[in-house]
Amino acid sequence: MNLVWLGQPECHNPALTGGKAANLSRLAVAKITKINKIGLHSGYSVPPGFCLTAAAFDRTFCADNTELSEPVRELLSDAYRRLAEQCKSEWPGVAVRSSAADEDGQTASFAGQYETYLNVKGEEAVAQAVKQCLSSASSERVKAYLRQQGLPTDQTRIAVLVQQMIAADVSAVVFSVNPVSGNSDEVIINANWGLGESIVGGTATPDTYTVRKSDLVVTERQIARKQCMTVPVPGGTREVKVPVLLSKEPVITDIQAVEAARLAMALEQEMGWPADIECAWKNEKLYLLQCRPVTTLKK
Amino acid sequence: MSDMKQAPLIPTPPGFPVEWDEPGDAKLFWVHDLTHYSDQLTPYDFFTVKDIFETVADKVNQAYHVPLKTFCRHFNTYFYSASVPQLGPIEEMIAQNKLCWEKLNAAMGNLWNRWESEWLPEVKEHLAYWEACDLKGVSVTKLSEYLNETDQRVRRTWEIHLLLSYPMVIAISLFEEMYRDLFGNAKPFEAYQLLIGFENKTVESAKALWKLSRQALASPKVCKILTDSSPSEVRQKLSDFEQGRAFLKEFDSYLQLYGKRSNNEVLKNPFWIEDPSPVIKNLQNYITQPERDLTDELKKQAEDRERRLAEVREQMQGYPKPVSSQFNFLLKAAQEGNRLREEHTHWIDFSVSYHQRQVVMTCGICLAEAGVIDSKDDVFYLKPDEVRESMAELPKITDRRSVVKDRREKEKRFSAQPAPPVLGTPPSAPPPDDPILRAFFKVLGVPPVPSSIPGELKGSPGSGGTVRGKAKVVRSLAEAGKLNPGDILVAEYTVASWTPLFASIAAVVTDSGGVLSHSSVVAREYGIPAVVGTGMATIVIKDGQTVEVNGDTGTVRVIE
Repeated sequence: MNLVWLGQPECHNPALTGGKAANLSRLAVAKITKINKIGLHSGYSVPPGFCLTAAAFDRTFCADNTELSEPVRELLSDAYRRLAEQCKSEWPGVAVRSSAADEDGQTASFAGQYETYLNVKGEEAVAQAVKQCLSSASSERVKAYLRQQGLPTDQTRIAVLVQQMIAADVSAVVFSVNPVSGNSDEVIINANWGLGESIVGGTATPDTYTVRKSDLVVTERQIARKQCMTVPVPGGTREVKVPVLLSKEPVITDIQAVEAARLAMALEQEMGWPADIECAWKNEKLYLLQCRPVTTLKK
Repeated sequence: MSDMKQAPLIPTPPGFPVEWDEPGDAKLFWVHDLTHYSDQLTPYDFFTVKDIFETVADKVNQAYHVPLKTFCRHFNTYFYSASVPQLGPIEEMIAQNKLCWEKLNAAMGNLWNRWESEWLPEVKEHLAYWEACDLKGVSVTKLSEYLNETDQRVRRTWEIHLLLSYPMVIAISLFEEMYRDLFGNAKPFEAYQLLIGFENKTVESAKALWKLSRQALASPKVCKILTDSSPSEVRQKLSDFEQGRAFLKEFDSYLQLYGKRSNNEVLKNPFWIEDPSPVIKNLQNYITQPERDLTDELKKQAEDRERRLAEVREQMQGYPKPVSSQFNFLLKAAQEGNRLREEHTHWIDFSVSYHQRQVVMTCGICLAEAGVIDSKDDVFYLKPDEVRESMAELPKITDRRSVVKDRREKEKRFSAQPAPPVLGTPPSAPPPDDPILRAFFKVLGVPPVPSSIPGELKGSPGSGGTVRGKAKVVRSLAEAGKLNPGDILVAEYTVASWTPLFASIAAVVTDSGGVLSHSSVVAREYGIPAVVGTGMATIVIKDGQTVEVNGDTGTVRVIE
């Protein structure tokens, strides 16, 4: 099983696809029935995608260990074409990210430790991005992180997730509990214009919204002066300044803040742990992009 | 604020003693407005402008919730203004600012529509009033009535002028800033390329004049008269023969349409229709130039614009929707603003002022005949109130001749004295970095930073490109005759009536103005480099020197 699609049962297996892809795969087909009172009726909107599994890792590279092997390239090309059909676009932009078996675990987030390639378009570009993702798995930076977290450094076999990229109007990182105070009745939302990279990477000061879970009331809004945002441009992404008239505007409404809070609460129930999620709005629709356990909570 | 140390008074040159008219004036920061009125102003002109900038602007500031008050003074015949932010409790300021943006946004979103459906029809109505005024042989009573009516209508048209200027200037400024924010690697002026290539009155008048020059070329005799005669003899010589008369007819209909312009927008000076020398000089220049198709050039500009715009939209495909919506909003507003900039000058700055001048001049004739003043032109050396009073008193005569004499002498006395750029007390803190204030500075320019390189002059980039050529220092349109094709125009500033010159020069350098001033805008339209706001180009650069103008860095280098 070298290539699996999000939503396929095989893809739910973290040993095969890594924590990130496995979580998303499960959520892509999850029915939100028992939590209808929270207000989400159907399922989670997970953008379609596929995963080159960790099982493929050994056969991924050619003998000289620099180029992807021909079978793997074909596998990727076929899958990209199928994804294009699903996205109803000839050259859909995709996000190519690593998904390590030990990443997105409950003790260490691995956030930002592996390379991510955004707005990758075309079969050749996808193959290149996958190759670089795999190479980064053995980088010194990752090994240092593993050592620091007390994890073994000799078996970093990773899977690569290729997923339709949402050219977001607004992105948010949402915690289903307050990660600072530990208050479990609070959902904390960080949001900014454009893609989520400016929030995750810490280059922008995002807006912060607090929603009280018990009655779904927005209890606090800190509207930041947002200096920059990440946007997709041909060939990748770029960080640009936020136009002056938008920099001090709230990026989401209270209704959207509650929508994000409901999503976080549903995920917390579904996964059974406090969730740290990335999500994005595009044309008023809320997409779920990542879901992992909150790692910094005091036990 | 109160515990801040008050800065000392700015020293004035010995030849420029300043008497503070009002208590508190010395504590304000007075700026000599180089962009609008760098020349000396007569009392009539000054008090007309003062009324607009103080009373009319107050009304408009209130309409847009702009917490600003402007004061105007006539120091030693020069025009100075001081703008004082009206600070209040912080909550009130924030509330004001919010209202201000709401008003400006609404105005920016509806700029051209409001001009066409509301403002322009009203301006045309005022112009029609003046067209219908029969000033020949008018009675004193009727003329007084015309004068009072004119004051009211001038005030109203300038109210329209200010109402449209704010959203116009701010839209262009915001668009340019947004463009640079979104495309960090943008070249200077790239944003402005998206605003040009539209028909407007300036383009239209340039085309009409070009057409006239081609008509002149069709007749060797007309051509010869234009080339060899001084502007004052041209009319006489042309009326001597059939083809000449036919050309004169075309010439006069051009003046009827576009001749209500003057060289520097003040009432004292004749407009083209009264003295067409500047038009004749432009024609003399145009007939030496090779064939070109201005309509086609405009079309190409529009095509370039659309091509650029398509590229920009491609780039922005994945940008957040609020960002692209705002981009589209500001693009439309800025395109309309850029067109409106030329349109409103034609209809208000020039056409209204022309008619105002005719009414005031007729009062001048009337008062000169009665003996209140010596000559009709003396009327501009009276204040509007004095003219009104004298007219109302007729046939009783108050002799104003000695007042006029004093004022004319004062004008002469200070004519050789350069006016200091600033007077009074410098502000204790720099102005807040606010998008609205930034927009105004782009029109008025910021004080230049002196260059440390010898032979180099620093200004603001006005239009991109680098070119070398012979410098010609042109202080008024009357001196424009010395410009040859390929020369570099060095001027204090330029106004709309200078636009035809841009067709043949290689670059423009000015003392005053910013990236949104006339020189910059027109230079970009004509695709020639411009460096503006150097503060001293007309003093430092000498006629005939070879200079290199770099419009991207805003520097001018004297080569030899």
